[in-house]
Amino acid sequence: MRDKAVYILGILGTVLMAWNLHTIFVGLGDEAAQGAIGKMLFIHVPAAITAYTFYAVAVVCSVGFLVSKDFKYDSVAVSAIEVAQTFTLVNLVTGSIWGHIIWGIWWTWDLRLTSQFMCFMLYLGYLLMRPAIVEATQRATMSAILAIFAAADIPLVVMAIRLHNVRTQHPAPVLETGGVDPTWRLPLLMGYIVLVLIGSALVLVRLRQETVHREIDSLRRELHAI
Amino acid sequence: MDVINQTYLFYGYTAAWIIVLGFVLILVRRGQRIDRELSRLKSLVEDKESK
Repeated sequence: MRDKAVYILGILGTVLMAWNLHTIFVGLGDEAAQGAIGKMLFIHVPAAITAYTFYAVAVVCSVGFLVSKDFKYDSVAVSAIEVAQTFTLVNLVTGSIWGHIIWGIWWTWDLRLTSQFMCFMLYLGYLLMRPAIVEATQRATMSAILAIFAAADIPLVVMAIRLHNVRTQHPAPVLETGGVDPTWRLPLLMGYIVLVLIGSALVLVRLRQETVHREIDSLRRELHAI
Repeated sequence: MDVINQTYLFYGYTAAWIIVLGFVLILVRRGQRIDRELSRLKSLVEDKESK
């Protein structure tokens, strides 16, 4: 059942992605001020929003684990965080390439970029911490606490370009300020849907591995007991 | 300027899909490793139980 869902999500995501890339590169004109590089928006912004979506799933599941002590929640949380980390890295790299052309620099330590980098590093810490804790309940509990703690950074990333008293190199939120052409809105939304579909397929694959991991742990205990 | 723009746009999209494909490759390799470990442990348990 899960394998079927992975294939359906993967195929649907790939087909929609092909259609969306065709729309972006053939159907839409270049951005007036930035030229072709402005189309980086179609991967940069959906990657960030997809990452936040999966971080949110991880936080909900982490709370779920702390309340119920059910390891299924822990498995979903770690799977969602690994996928979210991938999309956060996509966001950081594409943003850096865009910045190299538009700003003339690869990176600057302003609030938006730094808080997004912090988000990536905090959840990287989460992934690096897990193998260091051997006992399963302790590992899942510590991981859940760290996942919730690290999520406190996300509102800072979102608000970094909305605060009036903060000077930032990053552009204002174009979707809310009407700074994006109406014809660009559907491909942007479709970019998000595509990444969520592909990300969900990856989460399901990762989830299966967590299930096998638990089976391996119980077999090891059984071996010790024999 | 437009050629540079398009070149870097290409770099951006390529980098994005290399990152995603890299993660998929990590998943596949990890999956193969844990499947091997699972079958090794299963056969070990069967061996010990049969003795």
